[in-house]
Amino acid sequence: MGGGVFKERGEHELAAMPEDRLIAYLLDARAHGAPTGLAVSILVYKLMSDVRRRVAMKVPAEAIEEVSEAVLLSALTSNFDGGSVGEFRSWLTTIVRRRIADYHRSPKTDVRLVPLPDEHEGDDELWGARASVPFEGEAIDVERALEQAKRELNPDHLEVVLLYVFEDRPAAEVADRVDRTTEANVHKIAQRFRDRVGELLPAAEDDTSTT
Amino acid sequence: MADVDTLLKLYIAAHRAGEEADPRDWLARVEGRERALLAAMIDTYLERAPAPEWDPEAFRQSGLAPLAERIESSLHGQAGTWPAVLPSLSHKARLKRSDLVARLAAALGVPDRQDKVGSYYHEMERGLLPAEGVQDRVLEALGSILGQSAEALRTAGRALAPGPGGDVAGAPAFARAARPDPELMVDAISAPPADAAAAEDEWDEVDRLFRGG
Repeated sequence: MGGGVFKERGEHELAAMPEDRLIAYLLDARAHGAPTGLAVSILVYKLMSDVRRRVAMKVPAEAIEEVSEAVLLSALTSNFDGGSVGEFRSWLTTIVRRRIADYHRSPKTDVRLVPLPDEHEGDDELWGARASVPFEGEAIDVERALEQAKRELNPDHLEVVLLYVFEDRPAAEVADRVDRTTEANVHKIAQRFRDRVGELLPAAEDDTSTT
Repeated sequence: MADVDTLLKLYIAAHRAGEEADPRDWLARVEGRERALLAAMIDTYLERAPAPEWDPEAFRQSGLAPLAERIESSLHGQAGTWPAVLPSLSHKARLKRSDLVARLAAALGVPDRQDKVGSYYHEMERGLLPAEGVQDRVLEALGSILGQSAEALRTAGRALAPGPGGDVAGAPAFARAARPDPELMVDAISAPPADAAAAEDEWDEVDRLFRGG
């Protein structure tokens, strides 16, 4: 990127870029001293609304803007070195969780001032461990159960679960998009996933949610 | 999980329809573990949800332009994320810049030099002042006013890592960071410092505080 020839792109091209390429473009432009304002604006516009929604579920209303801004600031001023939209979204998720955890860990320090790790950026183990603040015990149990259940799936079955359960795609569409999968299989895989989440959740007195 | 599944479907439909889709409205319909489960499922959906198409007019109306501009200043400045966070912190503290500068000058023992302190503070906000030159005493005073630690301010002012293959400091684009920002200039009490030669002639305690390291 930075060492080669840099070509400045217009608004139409930047607007059509997937997020990972837009971030790469931003880094490249910055390294060459080229304008980055439009790329920053597009990224802020595209990412902020869903970042706010995600943050709003985990922090008090008065902290949503602070934490959301911290997420955007971190995402756009760190060096993302992944190569796909999926990797970018995963990296963004790590930052969202990290910043939410920072807020709960250090309520007196504005989250926008808390540095990200200088080293091992993108190291899920390090970041994940630091992000796992028990800001809400039940939430942590549920997130762990979901993550564990997803980890146990093979790539095809994971895609089925993500599309059918978490994106509410029709079973027929999911079967078309995932190799060697029928509509009936989609239903079975989804039900097995739900059952597994229920098994992984610690027993709770008021647990009526996983049947 | 049936209720949670139904609520997730409704949430996804609202989000895809471009509605406000504030997850808290959906979470309010369930309690306990179901609430936590719905939150985690909505979060998983949002992680993969397609971003909105770029819409310049909607961007202008969103109120996000100042944030984008502050991030841009951070990327091209010499003071880490100060351009992004200092205006936010003063806003959070409900301080006009003129009030902040007056308090900062007083805390530094130079209440009669507000104009010069204001000029330097302006440079800090724009990323034009190398953070390593700013003395701890300034950051302690500023931190006290903004309710943050001097150490946290120092850390935020550390230069950002250069982009791949590039040395950001001194890059041609740096000069663009000096563009006036009407919103941030509303409370500005003075212009940036005069030319370097004049500044050298008038090197004083305020210069030492902000540039003496």
